[in-house]
Amino acid sequence: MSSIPPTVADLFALDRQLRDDRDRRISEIVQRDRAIGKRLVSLRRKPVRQILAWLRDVTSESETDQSRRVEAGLRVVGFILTLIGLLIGWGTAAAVFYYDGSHPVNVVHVLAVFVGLQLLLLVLLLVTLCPKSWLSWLPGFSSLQQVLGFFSPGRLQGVIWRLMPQANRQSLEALLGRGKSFQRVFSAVQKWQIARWSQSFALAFNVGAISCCFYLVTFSDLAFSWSTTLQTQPEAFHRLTQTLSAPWAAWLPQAEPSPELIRETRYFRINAPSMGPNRSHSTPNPEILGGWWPFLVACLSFYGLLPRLLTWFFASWQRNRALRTTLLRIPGAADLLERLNRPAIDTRSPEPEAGPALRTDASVLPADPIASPGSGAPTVVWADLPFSQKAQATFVDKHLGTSMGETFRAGGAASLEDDARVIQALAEAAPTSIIVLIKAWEAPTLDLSDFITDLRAAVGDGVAIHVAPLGLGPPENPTLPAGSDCTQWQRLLSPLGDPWLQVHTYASESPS
Amino acid sequence: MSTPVFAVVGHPNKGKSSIVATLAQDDSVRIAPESGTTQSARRYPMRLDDEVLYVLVDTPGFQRARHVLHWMKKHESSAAQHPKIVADFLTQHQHTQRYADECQLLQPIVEGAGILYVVDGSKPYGPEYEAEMEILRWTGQPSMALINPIGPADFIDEWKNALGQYFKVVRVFDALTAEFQKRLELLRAFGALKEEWSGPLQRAVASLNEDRRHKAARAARTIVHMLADLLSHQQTQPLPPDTEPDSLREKLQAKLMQTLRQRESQCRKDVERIYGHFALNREEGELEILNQDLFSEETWSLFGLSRGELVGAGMAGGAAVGAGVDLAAGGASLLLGAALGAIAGGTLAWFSSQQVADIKVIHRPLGGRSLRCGPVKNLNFPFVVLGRARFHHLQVAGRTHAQRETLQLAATPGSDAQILPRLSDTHRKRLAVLFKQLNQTPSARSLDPDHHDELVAILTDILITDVSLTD
Repeated sequence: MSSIPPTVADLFALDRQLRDDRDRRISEIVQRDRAIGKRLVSLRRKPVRQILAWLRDVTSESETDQSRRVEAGLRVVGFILTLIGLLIGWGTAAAVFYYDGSHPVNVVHVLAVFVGLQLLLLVLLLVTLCPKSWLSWLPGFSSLQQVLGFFSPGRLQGVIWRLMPQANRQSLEALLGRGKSFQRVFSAVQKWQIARWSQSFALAFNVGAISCCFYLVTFSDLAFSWSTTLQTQPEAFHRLTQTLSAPWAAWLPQAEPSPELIRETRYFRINAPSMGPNRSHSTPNPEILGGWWPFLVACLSFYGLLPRLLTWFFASWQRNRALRTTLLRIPGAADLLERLNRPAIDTRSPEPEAGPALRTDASVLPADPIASPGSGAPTVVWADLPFSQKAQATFVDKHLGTSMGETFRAGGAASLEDDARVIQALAEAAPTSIIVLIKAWEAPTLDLSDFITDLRAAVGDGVAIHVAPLGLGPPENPTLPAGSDCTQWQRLLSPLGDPWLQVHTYASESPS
Repeated sequence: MSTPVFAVVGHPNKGKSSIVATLAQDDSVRIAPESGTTQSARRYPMRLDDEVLYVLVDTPGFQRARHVLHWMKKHESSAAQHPKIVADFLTQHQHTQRYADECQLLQPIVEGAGILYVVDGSKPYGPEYEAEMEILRWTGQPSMALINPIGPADFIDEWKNALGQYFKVVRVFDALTAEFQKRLELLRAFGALKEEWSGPLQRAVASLNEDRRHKAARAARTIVHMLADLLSHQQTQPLPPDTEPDSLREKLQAKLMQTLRQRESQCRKDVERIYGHFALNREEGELEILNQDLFSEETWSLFGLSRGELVGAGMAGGAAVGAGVDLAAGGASLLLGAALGAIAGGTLAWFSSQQVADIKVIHRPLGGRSLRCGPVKNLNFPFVVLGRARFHHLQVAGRTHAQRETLQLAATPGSDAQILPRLSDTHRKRLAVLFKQLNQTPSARSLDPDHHDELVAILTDILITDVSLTD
């Protein structure tokens, strides 16, 4: 764990960054994070620090500004709550210690407000902070917790934010708005942040009260007494003060009221302004009347300030712990740690696919219908069709409406010299039309295009060349090819711009 | 030691790019039924950090193989000169347009790449392939033939006989349906082509295997987040004083379902992204909520508590105060204080709650009526969601990057079970407990971090088992 805990702003910045990363290319993120991970290899076993260092690396200046604003906003909330606590503490003490010379300050009031009430609030705080699972068997306990939580001074945050500068407020609201969707993750932090603010408030309240007490003791002449309607004997009251001052009696004896002090400062309204049954007609001793203050300050410090100091430290510790835990539990954080610490595997191409999706230079332009092949047209069998001579003749008869003449082999296993001889023979025969039978299922290659170009050059313009694709089938029964197969060959030969060339697509016939 | 490079070559439109897309797990590879889709060589390095373990090179197909072979034969002096003649051909033609495709595919081979010659096993062998294979033999590089059956017809034996005359190693590899382990087997076979290639390819296989497990774990985390959200989500709407709840029910339930479905769909996308499927189209039957009344009618709330809860809180508070009195009395009151306190607190809470609820703080009332829809508490619902997520994960993890058709997921939950391995009893029982915990409370915040981790661990285990059984 890190010695420097993450901040609430870090949590939101991390959440935001991980969300933004989801829109980026995964390979880009993997490479970026792994490069950072290698630099942070010394923090491999300190995931919180590693994530924070990563965050500093990847967040932009504007995002850092926003985080700073959030942090500043949170500090302002804490500061205002502390200020309010100080003022209320001072004000409460000023009211409780109010002395105008007519009636002395009643010690019972002071103890009730600064010890009794504070201890009660402390118990309620403990009930609020108690994990739900601890007392889940107690009916109504969790509901009570929820109600008590509602009255926490930390809840004043909402009111304070309304008074904050617009930029800070908008940043906070935007981030908290996002945070709502991750309540599961952020709730622990929220609970302890509010608890910490509450304790800052309570701590400041006690500091304010003690300060006011010192101020009044120093700059005014306070007179204390104790008075209650209940039938309480000075001995019983002494036992109470003894119990209260037990923690410091050994090392701060002057802060423990003596039996004489208690006896001497009992106050009965009916005897006022006399101070005690034995002195009903004598002038009160100022030393004795002011003798309570060390005890009261010690009570304030021990039962007010000290517990709140402890709960403040506890809430701070728990908040920091929650921040660390939450940081690691934000959706995507585990994946991030993997990216930082595991070797990056990338199998994808770093280059984009080149060129347009298809060879658009060879657009599909159906050739104008040319003269049908004449009867007995010489036929070139391209690349050794896997069909018998008879099957080929039947196909031509059926789908091209003519009979095959002399057949020639070209392409495939034939050499270029063989092709040249075929072309020469065809040129010498001077036919009016030529049929070229091809495999529709094969991908067209420029090999055929070269052959047709050479053939046209040899036989001259005007001779119809009919390219007829045959579909795959048994040796005795070639099938009618799919239109898409024919289109591919059409696309290959269209760029030749030959007006006497036609690739048959058998559009009027339904493919088998 | 130089990095092993493998040039994937062959006749046009025989599935070279499909094989590369599958092995490189790259759905950006252009694949189409038309020939000429690949117009220039494209490299796919397999990188482990900064180290490149091997490179696949996708190439355009041969266009004028007979012409190239004719040129080479014309310049032949002796068999020992064959590789040099291929290199000479390249030198002479690499800046011309006529043999652009041949130069692109021969370039990596001349530089030392191994040859992966691809043919389509669903189309018959033809003599036009001989010139291509002869040219490749002239290069003298280690080579392997891959029969990739693109269609249903089977000419594999015919191809094996023909290819066996030119290549020492002939393998059948269906780029569209090859399971992950088959892909790794193929990579191992690449490594066997040359002794010095074996090490890097073995490391590549080990890394890819490990990466596979990590991907399953990441998918498990993603699915657990989705499950937690789905099982705890509820839709609440304040009910104005004179509004009948029935008028809002349909709208609220539709809103709830929309949110649940959107969340599930987001999870699907995230899982697809983990497996490198960025442009996947998917069709899936919509998530249903299994005929359950989801409504909590006119829930009365103050401080986020129902009236019953508020009375409970009042009783607890009253009891606590009463207990203080008991304590002060030294137990002489026999807990009467606590009992009376509880009764008083509860009664006070019941009667005062309406008045308190009407109080407005910063223009907002403290309480009031509301209609709540969800969370879905049907015990089968999380198992249905999990079943759907597992099925999707299985399909995505097993899907090759050469597949481009829409991913069809079963429309009914029941049909998933026929394909998915059954959950073990231990897993099922534990999941039932964790699911119950998830939807017992109104928000997902209550999922204990340890339980969350346990859920992720169980789901990782399940996903790895699913995938390994189908690999």
